[in-house]
Amino acid sequence: MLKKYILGSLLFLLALSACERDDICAASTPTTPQLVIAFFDQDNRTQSKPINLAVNAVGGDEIIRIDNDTIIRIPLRTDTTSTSFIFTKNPGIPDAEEDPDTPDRVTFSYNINEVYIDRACGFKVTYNALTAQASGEGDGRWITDISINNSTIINDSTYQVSIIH
Amino acid sequence: MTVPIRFLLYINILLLTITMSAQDIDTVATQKERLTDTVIAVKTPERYGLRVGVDLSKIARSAFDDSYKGISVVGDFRIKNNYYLAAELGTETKDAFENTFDATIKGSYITAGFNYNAYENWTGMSNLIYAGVRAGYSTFTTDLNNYTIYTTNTFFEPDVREETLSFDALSGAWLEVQLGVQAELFSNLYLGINVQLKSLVSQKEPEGFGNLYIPGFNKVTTDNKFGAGYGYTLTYLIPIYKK
Repeated sequence: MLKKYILGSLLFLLALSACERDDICAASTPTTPQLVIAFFDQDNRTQSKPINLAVNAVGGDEIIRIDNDTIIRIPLRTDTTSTSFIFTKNPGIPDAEEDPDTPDRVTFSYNINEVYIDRACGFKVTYNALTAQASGEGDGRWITDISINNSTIINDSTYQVSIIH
Repeated sequence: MTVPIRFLLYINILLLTITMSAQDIDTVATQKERLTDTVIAVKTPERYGLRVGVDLSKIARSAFDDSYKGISVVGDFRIKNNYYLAAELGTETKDAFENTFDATIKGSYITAGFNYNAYENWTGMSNLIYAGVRAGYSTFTTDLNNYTIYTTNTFFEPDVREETLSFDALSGAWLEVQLGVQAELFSNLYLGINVQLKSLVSQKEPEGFGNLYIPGFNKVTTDNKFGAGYGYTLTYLIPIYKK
């Protein structure tokens, strides 16, 4: 009786030994976080102020846009310790009430930490010791102030940087 | 599993079904013998000795699978009528190609334990249908060849790191249950097939990385400690004494 049980299991398990689960990085797994910036009013610094914004990396083509929103998420470079962006307020709106089509340059500097997630997702990067500097671009300047709320970036659930305009 | 291994698997299953075909006849035959035979039964001496051989599936896989190179020596030693001491020694080199990184694992392993033969042989025959337990241990190194940082956007170009990182002095220990068949082909030469179910007990992981594959244990999965394996062995029984 035992031997029949062993034989049956042997066949069954041999057939099963070909099974291998597909490892896919789940969308819910936290990976490399993005920088989250919130925008506030220069007359009342705790009041959120929506903005039309176009962001591109210095020397890059891709643009991230928000339309009348108070929060933007942008990625930081993972291979160097600083990334510079051009933030254009009211892009393509030459008759805006304030700061029409005005660029500003922002440079973020930080430390990079490589973190292994698992075999499906591989490696991610987290950031710490974040600093930010706004410097004019051309003759434009719309950022009143930029400050760091959280210098450690491990997830993108809440904002780490606030910009006053 | 790659296509050549699946091919091997189908051949194994075919061979197994052929060797299984004559199993049920013995119970009726031996019962009849006991009823009609009045002569005191003479016990045919059983062969005891050291059985040693190789795992053919690993040799075949090394030839067909570009990402694998391995060989193992298997053996057992009969201590009682149905009980055997068993062990396996092997080395493996495996290339793991994952979604965002490549790594090469190289190491060796040993497993040791007992087999219990549940098959009642006809006179003069010596086959096994067995269940066994093993404890296994492996030491290995992992080389992370290249990896790409995982991001959810394509704003910047992919960050590919190509410098090889080596992680040494890694190890793993596991417990294993083995089910198998050993059939005597002719004069002390045996062909065997087995499946193994493994449970990882402990592992030394590389710092800042993880274990993908442990020689002898096979693939290490992220969320559970179980593993599996199989073997196709050709062994020779070196007879030492008869009992």
